[in-house]
Amino acid sequence: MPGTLANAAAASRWLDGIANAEALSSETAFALEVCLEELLTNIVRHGTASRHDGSLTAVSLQVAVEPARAFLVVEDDGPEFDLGSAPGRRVDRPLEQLEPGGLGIQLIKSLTSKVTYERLAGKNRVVLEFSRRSEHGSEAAHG
Amino acid sequence: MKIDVAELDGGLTKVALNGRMDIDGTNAVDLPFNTVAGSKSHIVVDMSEVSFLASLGMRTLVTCAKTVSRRGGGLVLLNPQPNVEKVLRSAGLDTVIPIVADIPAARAALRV
Repeated sequence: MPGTLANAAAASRWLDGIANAEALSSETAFALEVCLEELLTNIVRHGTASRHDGSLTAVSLQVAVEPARAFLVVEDDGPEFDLGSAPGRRVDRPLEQLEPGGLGIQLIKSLTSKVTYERLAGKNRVVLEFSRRSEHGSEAAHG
Repeated sequence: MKIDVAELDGGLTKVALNGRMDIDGTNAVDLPFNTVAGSKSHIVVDMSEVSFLASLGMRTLVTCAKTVSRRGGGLVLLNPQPNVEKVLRSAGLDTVIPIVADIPAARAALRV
């Protein structure tokens, strides 16, 4: 899909449909949706906005669900950005000195169990892994 | 996303947000929320009906809190849903914008 904020909203509805169909817990679905919004807003800001010819960053999304894990795979042909190595930033200063924004990477890292980044054939490929253990209680937690 | 503003006793303004504070929701409430923040000094933001929040929505909360703070006022968040509270705390936003459970706690935090 073309990387626009309007499509980001549509992608969120698409993800919500998958979460319902796969009966993901509210917590897991929420984590997936937050991370999707963070990745897409980042792609639009730093990818599409950096293009001088007016073209849009091409983005592809995949979701995979396993009993104990869920995966969100996002590929885009924007500028290289290694999400795996990028540091998360929590609020670390008084409100008066705080600049709005910049918290998205921290949210992704706090909500996922693993972040994998690759640059392949001119594309960024991010794989986010989410634990579903809390959905299944102690049985899955020990299995 | 909806925003409702109500004046409570003692100079406290309640801003009730309702809906998903995603890209569309944040865009919808950003201007009216900032307008309130520009004219009121003590604001409690009722988050109990906000079902989604990511960093874009947090940006609006920070901007409004800073606006109020510059005039010597304050802004607190009332009763967020568990998933929303989790991301607020993950980002550390609760260290600069207090999270409270009820209006008396909001009054205590804002000293009104």
